[in-house]
Amino acid sequence: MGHFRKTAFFVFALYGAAPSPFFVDEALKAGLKDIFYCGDDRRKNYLVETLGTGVAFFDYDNDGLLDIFGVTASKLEGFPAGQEPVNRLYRNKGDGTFADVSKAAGVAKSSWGQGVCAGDIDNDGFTDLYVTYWGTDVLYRNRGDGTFEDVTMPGIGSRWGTGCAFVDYDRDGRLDLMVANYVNFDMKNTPRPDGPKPCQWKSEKVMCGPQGLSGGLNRLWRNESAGGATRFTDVSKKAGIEAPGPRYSLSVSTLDYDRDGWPDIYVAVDSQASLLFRNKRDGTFEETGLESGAALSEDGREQAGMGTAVADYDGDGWPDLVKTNFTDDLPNLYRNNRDGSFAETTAVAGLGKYTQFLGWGIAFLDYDNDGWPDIFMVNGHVYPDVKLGEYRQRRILYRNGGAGKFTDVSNEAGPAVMAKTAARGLATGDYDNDGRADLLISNMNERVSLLRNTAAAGQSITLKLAGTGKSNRSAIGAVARVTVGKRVLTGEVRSGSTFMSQSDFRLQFGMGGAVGVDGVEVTWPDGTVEKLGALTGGRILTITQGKGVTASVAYRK
Amino acid sequence: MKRAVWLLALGAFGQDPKAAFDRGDYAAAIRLFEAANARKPDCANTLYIGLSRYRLRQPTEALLAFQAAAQCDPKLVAAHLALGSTYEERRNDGEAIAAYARVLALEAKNVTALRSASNLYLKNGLHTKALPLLETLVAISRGLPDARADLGAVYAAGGDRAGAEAQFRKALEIRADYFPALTGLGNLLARSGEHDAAMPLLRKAAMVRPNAYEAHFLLGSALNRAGQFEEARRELEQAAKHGGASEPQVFYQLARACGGLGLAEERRAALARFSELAKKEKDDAAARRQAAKLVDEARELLQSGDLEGAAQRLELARELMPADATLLFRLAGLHYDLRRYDAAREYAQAAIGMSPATWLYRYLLGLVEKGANRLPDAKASLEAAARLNPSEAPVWNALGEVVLLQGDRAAAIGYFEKACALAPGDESFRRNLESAGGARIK
Repeated sequence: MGHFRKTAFFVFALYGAAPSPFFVDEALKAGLKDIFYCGDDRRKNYLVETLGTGVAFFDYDNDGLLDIFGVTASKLEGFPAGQEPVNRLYRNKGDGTFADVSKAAGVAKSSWGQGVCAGDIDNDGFTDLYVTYWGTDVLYRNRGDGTFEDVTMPGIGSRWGTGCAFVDYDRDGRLDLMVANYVNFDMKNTPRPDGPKPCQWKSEKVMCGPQGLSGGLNRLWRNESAGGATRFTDVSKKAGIEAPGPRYSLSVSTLDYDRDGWPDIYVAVDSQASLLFRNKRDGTFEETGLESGAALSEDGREQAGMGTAVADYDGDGWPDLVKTNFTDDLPNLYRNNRDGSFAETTAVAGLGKYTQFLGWGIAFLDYDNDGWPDIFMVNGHVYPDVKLGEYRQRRILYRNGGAGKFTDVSNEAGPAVMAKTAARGLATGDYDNDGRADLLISNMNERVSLLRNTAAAGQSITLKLAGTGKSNRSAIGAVARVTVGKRVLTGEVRSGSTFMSQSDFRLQFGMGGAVGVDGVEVTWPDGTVEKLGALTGGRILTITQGKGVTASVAYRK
Repeated sequence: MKRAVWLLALGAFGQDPKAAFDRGDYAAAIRLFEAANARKPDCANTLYIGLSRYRLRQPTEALLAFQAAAQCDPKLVAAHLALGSTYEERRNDGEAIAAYARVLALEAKNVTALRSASNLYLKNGLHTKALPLLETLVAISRGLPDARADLGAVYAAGGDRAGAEAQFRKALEIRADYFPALTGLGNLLARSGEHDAAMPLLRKAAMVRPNAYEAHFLLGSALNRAGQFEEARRELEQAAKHGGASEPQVFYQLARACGGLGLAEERRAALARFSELAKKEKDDAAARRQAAKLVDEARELLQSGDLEGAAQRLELARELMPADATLLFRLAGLHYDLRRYDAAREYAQAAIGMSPATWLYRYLLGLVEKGANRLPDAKASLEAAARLNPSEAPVWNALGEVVLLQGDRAAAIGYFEKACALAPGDESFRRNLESAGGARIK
């Protein structure tokens, strides 16, 4: 026995303890057991079965804890009456678990849901939701009492909505809405893989599309609500959103890429050039994707764009873009050239190593709080039954080394990151308020993954911005610049983004070893700039426009 | 023709050297082989006739002879190889691949067929089909840098970066200046962000083949990534000069280099050229898709008996894809059914021009000429069809009908007998034979 102990001690001393994972999947422990469907997962006969669904991290009851909204589609053959899957709203109980409040909240809708985005459309302080469908989208107004009401635009029509984002494009203080539409899909006239005219991928019979199908037209809805009545008007044509014509649009990210103070819109497009709408500050947009260098691959090829994310990854104060694509391709990392154009830096940045992944949700998050935005992307194929593609694929965590270079640290990040699923939607947010960014992933025909950040991270500070006056209450479009020593970290409050999903509005800034920030500058959506002095980290601070810090809560241990 | 096929011809039959052929007197060789065939038919002689025709720059006649040799002896590998090679030269990739597939069915490890078929698959983007051929090729011929480089390219396309790198490196071990391996590995490393390792390879590639646009393009792209825009611009301009002027990606990269140099006007011009070329590519692809859709519609109309509607759809498809032999053949068939013999002839002849050794096209032309009462032309076409595929009973039957109309009853009986022998259960052939006065086939 004594000898054994000695040997065991030696072995442990030699190899050390097992490294701690950076993330742990807590979904089951948290009570997130429901399945979110999208068609059959043995064979996809139609394109509608492939996109999966989105998820949202948002605080619907203003208790300071991130709640979860999960969108579900269905199966083409349907479900027995009473067993249809429904969209789920889970209330964060604050103890690491969630309670399903979908029915009570009035959002347990069963249909072919796709994506979700959030924003306070009536500036009442409660976050509202927009849910896209293959069918008719739904706009939910948060009543502020734990329930939602359907305030969908009358006559909105039936489309295949995918990504969406609230954005105050005309800076009138009311959140408008951009919705991507994918395909005008007609199942009756679309060939099946087992039918007489199947489509092929690498010589195998597969479902058809999007190529060969009719593309959708994206919509921009202007918020013209007044006197307590919700009213959105379709301004797509007038605003120039329709100008590029039909596209296979999937995800929407808003950003002020030219830093003129007016929000621009980036749309990832499948199998066609992606779109960048530059805000002309007069209620219209100009599509500048090609000219700006953010529409195509670095060789000028059209790609199958899926998800997008925005952050200042190189610390120069300008927003950069990242986009996921189909398999046999690379993601795109577009560095902002600060002159209205982007340079693709995928290879140089170290994101050029894998072509086998089919990427969907992608997000920038500073998982280790070193002040440099890292990248997390989720993957999964669209064909479950082909020999030449892995349907369930692992996730990838790229650590930003700080010199414009990323390193794949997925393996070190642990089994929760290496787990293989047919993942689609992705949201980031600190659901346990411990100062470390967590992840929420929707997996097709499986439960969600809730990846709690357990990394030995640095210090951080979290800013919750609240707009007033001519700024929307969600502060969507507000940019915070935080000075930590010699560095200035930049974050923007954003609706939508990633893939058909919604991340936490709160901005978390990693400070490394610093205990606080030297100063904060907030540019509010209405253009006003507010400066604050040094602030202590390790806390969630609410900054209300014109009033400075109005609440401060310490991180949970 | 590829050197391999030519050597094969000498090798396979070199033990019985044909003096005229060997001394390069191909016209005499043809006469002698034909005479020999008349005395005693020999499939190899027919192949030699084809090779001689080829040497005399009569590719269509050569194809006919190769096809006849392959029909004569389906196991004659050299005939299938010759067919594949000649079709490849004529850019009829489908027929060429089919010929090489026949070779591989006979000899699974035939290096020429493995190389040629895999090249064609790669050319047509069918990487998964090329993969097993290349793996076989590499396993049996370890010293082939081209097979290694091709396999590397397939692995790279399939996302197997490590496998790709290994194959490219092995190709470079075999031949340090092998261009496809230099560009393949250089590009792989450059796209993975390994700039320092990639640059020497791409620079070497540009030196090895200074007139190849690929090397300049890849080098220019890599330089762009590294922010060396001045040199990138020079390389990309070289790429455009050396065959890349119709490649949209060259101009996209050029725009990037100009952008990096702050040359706004040049950048705009390069982007405009890129857009123009990209649009053309897109329009071509859309035309192919639209043509395929029209063919589908035509098929449905045909099934419902609307020949006129089907012909209209096919005409529209032909406008989009004027060089598609199958489409032309379908059009010829429809016009024949509609008794529009002039149009049918035009299309059948165009199809034959593209694929001269396809017996079906000759057979249809024969039927068309017969319908138009141009009996000598009908006879010639049907004879050609019968030579290309002697086992098709309808061809012999049609030939019998034509010569009967010409008044040659004896020849007609001979042809009807052949048809009946090949398809003893066919009542119409039997009736033709009986009405021509021939013996009743039991």
